[in-house]
Amino acid sequence: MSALLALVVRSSLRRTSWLVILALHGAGVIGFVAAWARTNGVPLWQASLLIQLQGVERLGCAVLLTWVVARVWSPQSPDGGRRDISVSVITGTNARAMASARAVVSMAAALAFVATVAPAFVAAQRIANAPGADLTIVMLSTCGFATFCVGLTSVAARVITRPLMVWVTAAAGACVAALSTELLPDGWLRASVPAIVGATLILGAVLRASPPRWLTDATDDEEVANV
Amino acid sequence: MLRVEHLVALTGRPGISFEAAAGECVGFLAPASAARRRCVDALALLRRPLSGRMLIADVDPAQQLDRARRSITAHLPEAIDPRLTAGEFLDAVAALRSRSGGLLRDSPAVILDRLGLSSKTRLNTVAARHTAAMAAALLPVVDVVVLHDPFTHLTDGARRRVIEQLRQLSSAPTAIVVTSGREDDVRAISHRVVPWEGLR
Repeated sequence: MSALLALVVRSSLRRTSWLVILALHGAGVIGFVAAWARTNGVPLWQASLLIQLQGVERLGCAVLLTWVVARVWSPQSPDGGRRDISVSVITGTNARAMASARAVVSMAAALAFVATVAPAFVAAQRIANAPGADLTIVMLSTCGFATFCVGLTSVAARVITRPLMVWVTAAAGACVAALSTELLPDGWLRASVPAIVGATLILGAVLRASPPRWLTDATDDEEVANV
Repeated sequence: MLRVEHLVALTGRPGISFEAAAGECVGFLAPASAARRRCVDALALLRRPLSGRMLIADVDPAQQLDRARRSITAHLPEAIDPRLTAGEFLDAVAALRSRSGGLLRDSPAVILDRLGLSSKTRLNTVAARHTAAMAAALLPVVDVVVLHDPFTHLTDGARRRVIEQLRQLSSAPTAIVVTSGREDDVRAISHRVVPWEGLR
């Protein structure tokens, strides 16, 4: 598994610089706290700095995390994942192992995202004089939303061929989901529902690689026409 | 080592049957076509055939796909990410083959050197990916090697080195199946050339 993880990490790192994306994300969040700390939040929006920071973080996840995850899963294609199945033949491993490696690397990216901004959340909680329980809920909610972003992008990458369209679809879907999550009545629900949905989507993306451990059967007329 | 019975990979095409013994290289001469591509995919265990049966070292892939894939390898340049280096790709192949209990003919660096590649060669050209794919096919000790247009995009020097390696491979207990549209390619390494009308 470690060899597969190394292969996926190397490929995805060379498609996009995680460090640059993480730095961009961290700088955006820290900049937000620095800019609005004195006024305890954006004046036009009367929520606490901590809650506003959560909104900014979600926007960051929706735009940047989906980009990173799209690069981890790219290039996939809806023909059953020819590259992953080819790797499976060359390495003598199960095709599911490659999809699992992609899922693990994607979740590692999500954790790195959350870890990058955790200090800013702690600072925002102290500036806003919010209770510690609020910080816990906001951090869990952030983890849940990051999981959702990973799941949505993973599924998008399994059904959409063009990497750019994978990112656009996932980013738009994540923005809608971020707004929808706010309709949930309770903080714990806002943390747990995206996490459960995200984990289910990731599982679906991995399992989708398993049934067609062969490529799709010989009924794909488009591929025949292209040969 | 490899037995194929009435294998049909594309609707409306006749089935193919042949056997390849250990140490034997069977060549198929057929121009590029959808039928040939489908048959090669089926032989390389990429795509499920429509009908027919294969046995690889007495293992039926329809029943035990994972086990069959440990006994076979193929020349598949499309598996290679162009952002990797030859060393990174081949090291990963070697690690995964070893982990599943497979043996290696040589170290990745030695195989790459024989084919004229360095470990640091970036696989961002078609020729480099084709050569690295050939190195990956030559790396593990397996029962069957499937080669599809193995010399396409290779330089003359690389072609010569690959032919030399494949001739050495046929002295090992490995069956080789090669398909190509070029007769000189097929004849350069095959012990026998089978007419494959169904692939036209």
